[in-house]
Amino acid sequence: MTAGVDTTQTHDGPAAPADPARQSIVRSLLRTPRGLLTVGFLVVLFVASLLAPVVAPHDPLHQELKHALEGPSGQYWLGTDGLGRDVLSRLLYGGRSSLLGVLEGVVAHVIVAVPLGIAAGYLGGWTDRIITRVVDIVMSVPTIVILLALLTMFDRNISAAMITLGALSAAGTTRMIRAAALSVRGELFVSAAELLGLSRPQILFRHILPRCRGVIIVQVSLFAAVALGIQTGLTYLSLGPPPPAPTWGGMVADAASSVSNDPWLLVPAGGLIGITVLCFGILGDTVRDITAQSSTASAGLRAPRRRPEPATGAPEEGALLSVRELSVTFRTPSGDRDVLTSVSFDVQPGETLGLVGESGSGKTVTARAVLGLLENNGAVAHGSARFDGVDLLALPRKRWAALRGKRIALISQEPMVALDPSFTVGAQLREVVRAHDHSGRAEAHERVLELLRLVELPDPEEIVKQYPFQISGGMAQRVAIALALAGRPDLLVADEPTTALDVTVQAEILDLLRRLQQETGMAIVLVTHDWGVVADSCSRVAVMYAGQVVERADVEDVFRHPSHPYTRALMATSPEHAERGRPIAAIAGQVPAPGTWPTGCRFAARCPLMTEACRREPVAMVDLGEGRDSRCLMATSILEGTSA
Amino acid sequence: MLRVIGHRLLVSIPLLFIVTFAVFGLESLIPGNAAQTILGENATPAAVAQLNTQMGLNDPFFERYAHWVGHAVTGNFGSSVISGAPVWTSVVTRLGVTMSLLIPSLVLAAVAGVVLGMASAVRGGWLARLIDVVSLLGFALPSFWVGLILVSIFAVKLGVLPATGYTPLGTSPSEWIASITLPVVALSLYGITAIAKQTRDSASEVLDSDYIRFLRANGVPERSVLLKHVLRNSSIPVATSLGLISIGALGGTVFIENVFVLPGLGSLATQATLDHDIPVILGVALCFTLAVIAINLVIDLIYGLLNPKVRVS
Amino acid sequence: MTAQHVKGPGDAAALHVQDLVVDYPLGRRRTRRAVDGVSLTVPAGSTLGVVGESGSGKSTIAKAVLGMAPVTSGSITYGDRGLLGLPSGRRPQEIQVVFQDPYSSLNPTKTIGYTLEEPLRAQEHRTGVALGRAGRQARVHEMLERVGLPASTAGRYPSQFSGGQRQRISIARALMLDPELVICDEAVSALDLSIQAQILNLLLELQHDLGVSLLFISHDLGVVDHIAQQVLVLYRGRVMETGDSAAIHARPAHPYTRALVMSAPVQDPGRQRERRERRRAETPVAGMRAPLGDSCPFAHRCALATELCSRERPQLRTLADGRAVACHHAELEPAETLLTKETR
Repeated sequence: MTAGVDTTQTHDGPAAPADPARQSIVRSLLRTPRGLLTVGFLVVLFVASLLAPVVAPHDPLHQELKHALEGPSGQYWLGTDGLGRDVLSRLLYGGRSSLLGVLEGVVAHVIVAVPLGIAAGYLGGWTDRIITRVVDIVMSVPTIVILLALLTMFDRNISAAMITLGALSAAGTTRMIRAAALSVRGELFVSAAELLGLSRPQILFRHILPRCRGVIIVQVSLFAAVALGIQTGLTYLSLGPPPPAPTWGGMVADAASSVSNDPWLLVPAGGLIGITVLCFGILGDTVRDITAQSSTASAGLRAPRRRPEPATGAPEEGALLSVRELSVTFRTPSGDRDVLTSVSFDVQPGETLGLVGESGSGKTVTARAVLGLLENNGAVAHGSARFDGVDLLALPRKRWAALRGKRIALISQEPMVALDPSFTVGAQLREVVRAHDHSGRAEAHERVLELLRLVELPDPEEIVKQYPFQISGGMAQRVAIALALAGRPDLLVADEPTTALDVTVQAEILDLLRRLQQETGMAIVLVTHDWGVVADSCSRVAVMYAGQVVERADVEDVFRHPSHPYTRALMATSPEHAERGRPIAAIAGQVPAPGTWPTGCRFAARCPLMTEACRREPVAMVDLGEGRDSRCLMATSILEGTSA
Repeated sequence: MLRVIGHRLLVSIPLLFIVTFAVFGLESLIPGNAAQTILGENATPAAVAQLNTQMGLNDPFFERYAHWVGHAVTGNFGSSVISGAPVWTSVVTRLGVTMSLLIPSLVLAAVAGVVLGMASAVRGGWLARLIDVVSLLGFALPSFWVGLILVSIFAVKLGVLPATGYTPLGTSPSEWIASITLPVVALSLYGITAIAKQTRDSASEVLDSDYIRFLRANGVPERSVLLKHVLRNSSIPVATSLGLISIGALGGTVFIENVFVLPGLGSLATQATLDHDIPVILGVALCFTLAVIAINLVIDLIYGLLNPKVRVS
Repeated sequence: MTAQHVKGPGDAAALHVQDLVVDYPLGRRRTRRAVDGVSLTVPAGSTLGVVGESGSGKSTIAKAVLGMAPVTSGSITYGDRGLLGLPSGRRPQEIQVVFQDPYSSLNPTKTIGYTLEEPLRAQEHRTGVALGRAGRQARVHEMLERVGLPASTAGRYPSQFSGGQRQRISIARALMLDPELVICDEAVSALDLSIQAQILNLLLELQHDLGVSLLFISHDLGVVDHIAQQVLVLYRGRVMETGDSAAIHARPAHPYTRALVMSAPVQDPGRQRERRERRRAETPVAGMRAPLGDSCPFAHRCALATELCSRERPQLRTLADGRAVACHHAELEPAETLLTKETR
């Protein structure tokens, strides 16, 4: 239970494409080239092995000694072995026992793993505890010796071995299915279904099992790959069907005996085993990618890093940070998407600028772009960010080191995950202090304690020994602030620093930031969605909507006379301004997602003052004088109307 | 930490019983009877009866198992049905060979896998794609086949390393290294690729985490970000997967020892299987299980060192 | 909003929670007390707001009512039925829920229509009264329109909707079986401000039209104050103060409630500055958090705390204006009105 952890606030990036999880797995699989290729190969292999008596060009046992050890030819497509038998025919016949073995293993695997995994994950309690214990133990069993023991007793009975293999290695799969079932069971839609009167079997078959299908297919295809490796390994050790019966492993063993005079023979059998195992493996990987959450879809994407086109606008007089025409593009599976267009603002030394907006407004992306910390799939396309004379957006990586922490520092939204969980609070603070001050251990330790006292933490000596997961959220945010202040920065970027905190803790943290600002004279860029926080802590405000700044003003002005209809409407949606129990003046509709922005004013569709002119072309910032700007065609009349 | 180790040892006891009991129990499942299987189709009834008595196979199952356990505790694992040699002696002499194959393979897999995985996560681009391709090969190609290919290249064609055979470390360290190089490479290939992939995935996740962004933004040097924070945190899941990879590699020794004709436990097990030599199989099973327990203990220790949550709680 | 129906404890359709205690297992025979002797009543057709910070136990109360928390002692009754220990299939369908997370609340692999129809099918199965396909679909469309979504929504998947729209769908689902009480567990907390306002309006409208009662759980006192007639303030699993929402928000009698009200910033820089100065003047530096037991859970942060507070746990007592407060020194709270609502 966390207070006000605003999950939507973190999804400031482009919206994900339609959730792939809802499509049929098989259909999605066949739609990918990889999936089509591997499934196609496996189907052909199975059919060809099944129909070996019909399709094989030769009798697999027929020896033609005068053709022994021949390379591939028109008559023998893959050549012949040491006894002059056709390699291709032997592969096809050998496939029957190999694939049958895999099939037997898979069936046993599924029969054991699926019911156990689902039972453990869904039923929980004692069932779960017992199954988990057994799984833990069985996963440590050296399966191979069990198989060898089995084959000691059941002479050459490879089927028994494969079934046993399937059952024993089901332990790992059981664990995976359990985890999947457990996480589905924890989903709120399952609780809702229970409360709506669905019976356990109904929930199991309609909600739990379908969501575990992906994991089951992935695990089974990975097991099939392993099973084929083991099956061919056992036949290689001549523990399978006795010669002259063809087996893939046996053919590798035959090839091994003539490796010195004809290494070619290793290729067909080994290659086929390799390709088949590979197909099972790729099949599993592909299904995993298909069923994975859409959030990972853009994980591998990297936007090209190039020097952004510099902006032309002049910085404000005396500004510490001056951002001009900042545009950012994200690379997504469905193409490049603009998430910021032409964002400009200035921060004067010692002031606090509020970057205010709802999710999707681009406020966090703005902060990260300025810090040079965009995700891999994001890149600055245009603009400049002048900080003390240098353009941060065009700064080579090496030169950033001189600024980070020393001139510009960051505190972020989730204090509990802002610190490395593997190191103590003290170790992390000490590392940063030493990086900035080049001081010795003892000296650094003193400075760490001083910093912790600075952020009003009681008992610093005790806190340095703690790991981040041992302290509360409010303490963690204080530690994070101490760490950010270690380099005595001139500018602190605070990205939703209190959103994840309780309201009483929020008040303390905001008080602390205000006091520290007064003492050090640093400037703060405060990213927030909360107008109360703005009123409490900011001196100037830049309001963002759908990737643009729509209004810039002093804090007193923006609250007294908002000059943009969005600002005005957003402030009015707070219950604070509504009569108890009466409808709140809500804004209809929702913030348009990146990629769906209209040409004209982006707020037009929700704006009560909208006219035709608003939709025609992009609206420019209008300078209203006295440091105010508004991206609205009617800004002047709004101001006159409200100030009258 | 002590609790983790205690827990591991506690789980190990049922593990030992399960494995030996399973192997022992299989015997009673044999269609017909064990002595017949051992002596073959043509054995005289008298010979079968004699072997049955000799092996105590006429006694009730649990009595025989208890008997075996009782002896095993005192180090007496019986003797080979075929050679008559005590099982304990042959197992112990061969253990060294298997370990000099297994331990270097695991170390190689862990080191090479983590280095490749980290490089892939940090650099991305062609290196990541190359590692992808190699991982697929490492996953797909059976180790015994890779072994044979290595033999045909490095032993047959180039003649730089021996194709088969084993020289103990004590006899000649350089020859020992030569004799295990190819087997170790063949055995560790799967582990290297599996660990590289796991490391890459977890390192990418850590690189994208809030705390890395936070530490970077506040002036932690890039070197330390990668070598200290990313490496440490991404190796925690790797340590977990190392357990399964080790058990797999232990099984792999059975095939690799046969390819390279190394006198280890794996080839002993294969021979025993072909000979239907039950006491030897039991001995090897017990030895493998003990090896697994030892590996798991080491990994628990590594995991505890890496993960403060285990140490603190 | 119609006039508030204040009905007595004898009312057939009201939720009563009496002396609820919930302990979560922490492994190894240790437990954490999440709810410590809480009693509350949700009268029919009315809204009770439960407000508290993280760790206050507010969501645990919802879970306990829904049969999803390990209740140690106490009783939960709905009308004349006891709800504790009911198997999952026997829970009253008159109580439904809307959760905080709009993403996990809907099964991504099912269409909205399927999700909404499912409870109707289960009901047909249970009661044997068949609505038929057409009847079920008509009901789905009706409910979608009721929550402000077009009927065509039924054919689409959750991934095609934003957080606010999903929350509307969750509300529609909760209403499918004509519930009498809907539990809103931080139902608007994950939403943007402008969307939050839409959903609050929808809930108020539905309550007006359908007469459902709401148990509205939130960390945001401002939101609770807007939607609820009665409010219950929780801290560390215990009730600090309960009574009429407007009165409590304007004149908190418990120092904790006062801290909560004063900590929430208001949208006016000038007024916020004054409030901040006031708050800082009256808030002591927090001491070490005392273990629960015989002390007041808020004593370590309380400006009014005396030695009595750490010795004796204050019991809930009723004040002259009808509210109940668990504080030895409630009478010392200034009786002035804290202006949080804008007066325009």
